[in-house]
Amino acid sequence: MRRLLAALASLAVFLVAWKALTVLTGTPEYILPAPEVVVMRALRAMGIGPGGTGILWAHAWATLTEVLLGFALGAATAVLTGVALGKSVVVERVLSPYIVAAQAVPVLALAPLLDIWFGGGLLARVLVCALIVFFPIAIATMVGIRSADPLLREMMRSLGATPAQVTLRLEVPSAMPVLFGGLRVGVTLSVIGAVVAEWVSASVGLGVLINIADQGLFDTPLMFVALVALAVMGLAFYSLVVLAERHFVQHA
Amino acid sequence: MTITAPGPATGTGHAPQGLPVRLFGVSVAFPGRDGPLVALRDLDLEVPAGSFTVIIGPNGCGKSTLLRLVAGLVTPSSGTVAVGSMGPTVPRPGDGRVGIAFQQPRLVPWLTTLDNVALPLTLAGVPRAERRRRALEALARVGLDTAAGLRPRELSGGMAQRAALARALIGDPPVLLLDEPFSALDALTREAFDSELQRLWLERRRTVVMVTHSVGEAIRLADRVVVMTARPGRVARLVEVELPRPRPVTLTGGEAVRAEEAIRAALAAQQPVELRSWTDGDAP
Amino acid sequence: MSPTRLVTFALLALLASACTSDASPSVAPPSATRPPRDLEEVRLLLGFRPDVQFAPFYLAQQAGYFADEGLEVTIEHSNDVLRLVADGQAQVGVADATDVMIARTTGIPIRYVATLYERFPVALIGRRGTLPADPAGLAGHSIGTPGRFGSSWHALLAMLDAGGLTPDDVTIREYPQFNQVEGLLNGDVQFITGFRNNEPVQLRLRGLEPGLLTLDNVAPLPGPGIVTGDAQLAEDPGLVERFAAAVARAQAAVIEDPDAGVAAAVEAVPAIGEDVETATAVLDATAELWAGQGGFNEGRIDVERWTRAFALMQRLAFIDGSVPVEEMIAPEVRGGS
Repeated sequence: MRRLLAALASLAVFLVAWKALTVLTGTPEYILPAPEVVVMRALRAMGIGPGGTGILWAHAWATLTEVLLGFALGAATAVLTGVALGKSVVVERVLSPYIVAAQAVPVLALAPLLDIWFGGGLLARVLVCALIVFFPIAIATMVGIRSADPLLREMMRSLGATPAQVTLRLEVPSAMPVLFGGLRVGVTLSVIGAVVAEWVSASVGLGVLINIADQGLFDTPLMFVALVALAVMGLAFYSLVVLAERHFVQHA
Repeated sequence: MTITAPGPATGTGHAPQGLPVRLFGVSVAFPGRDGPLVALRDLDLEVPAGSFTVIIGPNGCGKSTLLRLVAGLVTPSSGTVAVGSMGPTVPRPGDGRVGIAFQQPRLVPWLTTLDNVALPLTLAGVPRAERRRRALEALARVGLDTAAGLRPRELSGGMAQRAALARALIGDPPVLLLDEPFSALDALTREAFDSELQRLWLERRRTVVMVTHSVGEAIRLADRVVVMTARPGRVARLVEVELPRPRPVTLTGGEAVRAEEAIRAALAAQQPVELRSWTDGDAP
Repeated sequence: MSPTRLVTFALLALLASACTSDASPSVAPPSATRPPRDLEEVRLLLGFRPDVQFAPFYLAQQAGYFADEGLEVTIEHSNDVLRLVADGQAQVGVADATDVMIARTTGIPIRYVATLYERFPVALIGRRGTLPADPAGLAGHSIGTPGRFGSSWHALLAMLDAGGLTPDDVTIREYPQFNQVEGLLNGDVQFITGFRNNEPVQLRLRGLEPGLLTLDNVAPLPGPGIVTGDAQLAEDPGLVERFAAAVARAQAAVIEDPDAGVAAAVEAVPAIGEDVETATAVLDATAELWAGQGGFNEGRIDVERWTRAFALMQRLAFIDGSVPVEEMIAPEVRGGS
């Protein structure tokens, strides 16, 4: 309850500061719309009230799909790769240059290539999300796997545990706290990946809506609505990861 | 501190007696920064089946390495290690013939006490219900049945070490290896643990090999005390302790004094490795 | 002028500019030496990456046409020309007429003050001989376009409308990276929207002989022009007039001597010099679009065409007609036609 109040208070301060900025600087609506303008525009975009279009939903749903599929695919491959990297120095030596190089190349530059290679559809956009999600989770998994207590490793060995058992019952659970750190970063990156991918190739999605609002409708308040929708999406997924973390990481 | 009377272990399927342990001419060398580090050199030791053997010696003399050899965690650079006298005698982790408790409890932090104790059975693929039954049984043997649902961070140091002991006992291994299991406990708790350990051993007479730093503990528990030389370790002296059992916490009388003096004299003869070459490490 | 000589010329021009601190070295025939006076600073926003099509601006900078009007112009590029110019963060910009209609209708105080392109630069492009002569024949075809906004989209809808069609009558595929040329080349789409001064040149280079369906005789829309903010126009219309005059002069000079335009572009944007032949072809095609059927009109606004375009944009639901066409343009800047 207190945390909710604190969150609401900080939101109120933010909105008041935003409103004050627009009033004091006299910035026109098409440069920085006041919060109530954005709220009214949001209601219209959500199809609420007179003149409502509901334009937001189809775009938000498309982005949501990309974010979730991309995160799931990226996280799954990243965890598997991270385990391999963590367990084998050889694998790390061989793979890490490519993984780091792929991370160092901006995803904005890779997205058009993925678009060409994978036919410009949902798959290409999901792959962009997966790619941007991959690195932090793979590295977190690797570090986590290696963080397993060597004393517990010896204990497991003394009980005749197979390498697979050591991984499943000791290393992966040991990696959980670090792994969830990577998942937290990854899920927010997935939202970024979706928007980048939509800017490269899409006809629907919040990234497309931003483009339409910016370049087609010159509707700055609608851009803000799309941005807020992205922020809400990121916050919601982040919170889900934190909830999952509370459930899976009981120790420490 | 009392211990509830344990029921007989049922359904463990092991030979009822302990197995003998033998080491012939065993050397162990680890790679070190300045060339190989020789932990044990030409060590010969025979541990009779069902005996209680205590190993004592200077720091770094390879006592823990000796236990790891018997547990199959370390492979000798030369020589042979045998557990039992028939069939395959080379120790292999998880073969059910050896149980080990380490200096630290080494409990898995995210598992309950019950699941920690049952871990050897889980790894061996024992069905859940049987795991649970046998783990509760093992916990009862060490007086920890009320703590089954707690997690390691909720246990005191003594409770955690009991849980580790229960984990070593759960498969009812013919050979039990104890690597200073009570060294982190205060003196009073430790004496109580010694008594319980003696009782557990008297119940089943499995082979026990225990490492300690305490001469008093050695005399309270051992049939035979192995005094080791400084590194590279080998057997300096064997001291038989011929006292009736069950032994009380405080031992008096000629035999106790004789054994203690013999152990202390053998220990005093061991000097730091820097001052002696390994070749003249033999006992006086 | 052969490409080799042109490159040499461009390199010499580059050297000359490097040796002078003056930002206006003479590349084209120098204008009369001007008395030193304080130049007014003008910020010009262009909505596209640096390109040879902006040659008149580069030439006006380098040849002193701006300075002759008492202006010192700095050129910058932005995706948000209309809003930044309306807000006074730049005095002038270049934007599409159809975008001005939409932006003005949403309340952005922007005005179109001078025509740069008499002909609408976006056309429908396909393999030669595949395009129908009548827009009605587009039904059932697949068309690639960057997105559902901007001049390409406006042109496509106007084209379909002229044939009695809507976007539902064709298959539309979007290429947000403006790479619809690839889609046409690999057969993903039958036609694409493209700039008459750019895509056909690219396609010819890639071995595809293009055919065009233009809006010229179908639905004449006003092309890109110079825009400024209401506030700027109210406070200092003279600055805008002088700027537009200098640009019209430069356009005329480029029409007269395209090579001088290419040279100016190469000096301003050395990368253009990598492929002077293509740049020359693009600029030639661009200069054709500056002149309408009646020839180059020096930037004057065709109010009648604006009025018809306004009605069309309203019918296509891009604007609701709440802001009249008179508030969108300022024909007096170049003298109405």
